[in-house]
Amino acid sequence: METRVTVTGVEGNGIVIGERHYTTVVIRQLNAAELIAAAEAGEVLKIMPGAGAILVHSAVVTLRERICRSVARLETADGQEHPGPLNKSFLANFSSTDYDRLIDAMDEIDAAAAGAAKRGAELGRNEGAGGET
Amino acid sequence: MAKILGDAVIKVNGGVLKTIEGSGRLQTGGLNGKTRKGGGKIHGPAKVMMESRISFDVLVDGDLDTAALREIDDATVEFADANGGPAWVVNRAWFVELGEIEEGEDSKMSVTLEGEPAQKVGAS
Repeated sequence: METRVTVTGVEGNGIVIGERHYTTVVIRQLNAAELIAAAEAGEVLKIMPGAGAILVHSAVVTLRERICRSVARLETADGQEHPGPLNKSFLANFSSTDYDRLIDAMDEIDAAAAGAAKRGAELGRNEGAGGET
Repeated sequence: MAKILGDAVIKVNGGVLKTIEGSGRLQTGGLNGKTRKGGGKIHGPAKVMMESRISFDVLVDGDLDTAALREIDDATVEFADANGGPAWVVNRAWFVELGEIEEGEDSKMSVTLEGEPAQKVGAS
């Protein structure tokens, strides 16, 4: 499952790498292992005086890791591609609006996948109900 | 020619190589200066297009496939400057050389690729 997001970049001319201007980001659905890896990347072990070691979870870092891993590729208007996942260091070239769009697209894919799974489960139950044993 | 030390991400055929963090070195390539001379005279400057050169270490474990490394002819290289500077991309890189395997707890092997001149991210 993929969806395409139009991005403008901080200068309004896309994500610029040399002479290429990438104006489309293709977002894909993550698998379970990738989701776990993104969550793990958002965990930091902190040593607190008097409390010992505490595992701190950063929702911001986890979200960033999910977005970067979700990027299948960047595309220019004339079809040139840069493969994903997105390098974290590239994020400085995305505008805040671009970042919001990527989050929205990722949420839409997750919601669509959840809906498809639910419909599949319901269909399975209905078919099963009419069967013979 | 600019030489940068940082983290190299090497993307080949939809996968990412297990590079060792901080081991990457990039020569960006592009136009290099050269002095033209002959007949006992210095004629002046000239420009020569140079390839980029990327070297990095990979982890030597059960997944290491040296034959696959030698087959690399169209890798995408992303290079993040270790000092927080700009990132660079080599759109097409190919295999040049495998180094020696260094034994020890973190056994590693150096790999060298060359490619098109590196492009700076966020610049045109």
